[in-house]
Amino acid sequence: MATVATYDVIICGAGSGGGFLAGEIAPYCSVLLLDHGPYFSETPNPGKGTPQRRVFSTQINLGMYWGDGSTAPTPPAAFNGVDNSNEGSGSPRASATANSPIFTAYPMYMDPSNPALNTMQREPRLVGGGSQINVGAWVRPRLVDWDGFTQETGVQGWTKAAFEPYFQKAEKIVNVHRDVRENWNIAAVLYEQAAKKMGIPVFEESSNRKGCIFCGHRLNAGMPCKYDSLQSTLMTQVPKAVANGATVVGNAEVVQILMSNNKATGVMYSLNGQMVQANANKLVVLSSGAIGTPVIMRTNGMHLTNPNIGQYLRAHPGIPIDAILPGTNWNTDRGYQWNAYHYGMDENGDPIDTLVHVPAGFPANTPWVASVVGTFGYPYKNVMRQYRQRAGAFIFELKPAIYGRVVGDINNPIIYYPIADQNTGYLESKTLNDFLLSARQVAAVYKSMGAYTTYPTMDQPEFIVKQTLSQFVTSSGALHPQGTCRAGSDPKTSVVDANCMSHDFGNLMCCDASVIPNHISSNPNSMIMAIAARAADFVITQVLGKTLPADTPPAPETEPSPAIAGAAATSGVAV
Amino acid sequence: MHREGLLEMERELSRRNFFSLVAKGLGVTAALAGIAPNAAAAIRTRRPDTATALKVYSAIGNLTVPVDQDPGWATFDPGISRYGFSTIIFQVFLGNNNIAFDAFQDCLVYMDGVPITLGYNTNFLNMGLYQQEQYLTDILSGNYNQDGWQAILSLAVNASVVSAKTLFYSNYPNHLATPNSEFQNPFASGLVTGWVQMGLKGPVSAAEETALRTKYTGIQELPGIDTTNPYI
Repeated sequence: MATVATYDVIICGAGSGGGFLAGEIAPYCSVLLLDHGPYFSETPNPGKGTPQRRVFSTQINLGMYWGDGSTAPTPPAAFNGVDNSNEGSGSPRASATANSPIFTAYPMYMDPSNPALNTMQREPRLVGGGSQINVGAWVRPRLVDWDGFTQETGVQGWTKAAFEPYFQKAEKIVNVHRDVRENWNIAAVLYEQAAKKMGIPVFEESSNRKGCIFCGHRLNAGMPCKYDSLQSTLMTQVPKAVANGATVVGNAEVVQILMSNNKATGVMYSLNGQMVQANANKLVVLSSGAIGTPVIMRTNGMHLTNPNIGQYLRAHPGIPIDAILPGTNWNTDRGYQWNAYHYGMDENGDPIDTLVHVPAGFPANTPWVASVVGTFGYPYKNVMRQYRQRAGAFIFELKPAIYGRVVGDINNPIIYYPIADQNTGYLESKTLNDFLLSARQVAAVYKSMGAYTTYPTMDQPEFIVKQTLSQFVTSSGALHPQGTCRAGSDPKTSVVDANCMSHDFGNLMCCDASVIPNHISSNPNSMIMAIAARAADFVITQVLGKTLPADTPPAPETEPSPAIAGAAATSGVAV
Repeated sequence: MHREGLLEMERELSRRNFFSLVAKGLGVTAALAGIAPNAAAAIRTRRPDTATALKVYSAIGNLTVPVDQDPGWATFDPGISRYGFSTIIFQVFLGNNNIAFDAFQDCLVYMDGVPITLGYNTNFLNMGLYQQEQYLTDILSGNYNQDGWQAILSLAVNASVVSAKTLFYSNYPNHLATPNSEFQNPFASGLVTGWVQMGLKGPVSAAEETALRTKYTGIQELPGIDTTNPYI
């Protein structure tokens, strides 16, 4: 082991939070940016891609993505007498290099009535992280979310007005723009027409793209865009950080946070089987996601000081609904898949806590074309064969009435998310009722478009529909984890303060989805980047003592941070 | 797993209800013992009866995507069943969890054995195709809710049917990318696969990529978000 270097700031995780933060602060200090996954470092070439990334993307974007986390670089040995050797060398896992676990999968327990059964929470592990997937659907939080933050943890200053400049800043950096109706696939156009007649307002989806050729692969397999069009942090902020002198190290697993006098002074990380020490003069930032960050903290025993670490896991369970529609011409276009979105609406015309993404047809090679449940046999085969014009929607429950927790350590992280009711086996009632209402609305929209049928078939007996939806969720997991190191005003109920600084440990910041105080009504990536943009201002001014450019948004109206007040010893920042 | 993690999981995850579910299965097994001792022995063993479970899974795959003028599940058996069983079910659905996989296999084995108690005169694997279809339809229709078997049977059938559809219509046996090949041609084998049946175009070719780039160059972009959304 050797001490390789000392930096001002060490950031553990190069995704939406850490990658974004690195790009903002690198002009002001020395930065070490670590990520557990590989670093595909070629200079971005939006619209065309680079040789390295073009080849890499093809390893896993064809056909079904095997979400086993690529933690086993070679196919597993036979088990229980079942030969698995036919997986072959073409397996995505087999093509991942031994030290490049591109995806990781955490066991997720969702059904307390049956703890032997679990599903997986899949997360990308590579520089760029979740931004390589999720910013493809950029939706801002709802107004109700902001009040929910304060009500949940008393966090001060987390208001729409305070964050607005940071959303705008992030949207400019990653080239967020609307999927204007003129570019929508015909299926989305017809969907909006039908939905409007039912009183459901539909909005243009936004995303971060540059030079997109509408290949139809968007969100498919969730991997870096072959053409560098998806403006993840790998395409934007990480190169900016590198240009400003930051050091980026891929395949680095942070195993220890070095502490001195209750202040973070660096990290130990594993690289190519070797332990490496890096020291931080000013700050250690954990930005490994809502699962990874609390797991690192738990591995270091920090949950014994603050038991909130890993608690209050929020997530968004999701269900698909597919429709078979008349005609065959849609398959001739590729398109962009997720063109539009809307909320589920109640009988009063007010939104409920569901977000419906409306893909167009499925003209490309998406594996989602296989509907999840329902018929089988010749009828199903004939449907797939004869009715090639399909459309679908994906419905997220935004605010389940439960929360979970993350336990274990970096070797064995475990997610407990008891979304299934222990007595009925169905999803907890709010989630189930929201899904039922929204799925019926979406099915009705498709029916009014002339759909022959939808899957799930919503006119089945209710208990069958409930069973179907429940089993889908409990077998597929819940997406968008957040809130496991939430921001708040009181260490008794939160992990970090309004500036994302640890309540309990000096020089330690969390900057990712883990700090979100409560559910947000969208994919969390937009919020994460806004948090990172805001955190960057804090780091630059309060941690580094530097001055922001004149065009910087006004300082956030947060609670008076002890650091800002000069009481560094209690702020978590050693200045 | 560290001891602390184990202890925490013990606190979190009461196994009582799971074992009650298993006990329910064992109760039926015991009842079966009086009716059909051989069937009872077949549906509950100390370790999962993987061979039977795989046969049941294969049979469900065959029912899900039958062979007609086009290839179906049986065309690619036993490879497709083994792959679906070991990769889709075990790795993707169950996250490499051996305990869960054992339980799933038990569900399949139960599914084979319990028809004897449910009005069928034989077990699932010995049924004709029509009877097997009726049995699956009964399960998917929730007909065994009153018998207490619905949860186990629907788990077995839904997971099997979904995995079969997923795998077959993910273009098996051309479902894996060719490593280090920038452009893929999964149709090169000439097989009529799930994608061919569905009319999917497959990956973008070099020529199509050029055409798409030309088509979408200069496409209209409006920076920012849709501000007509009043709820954000």
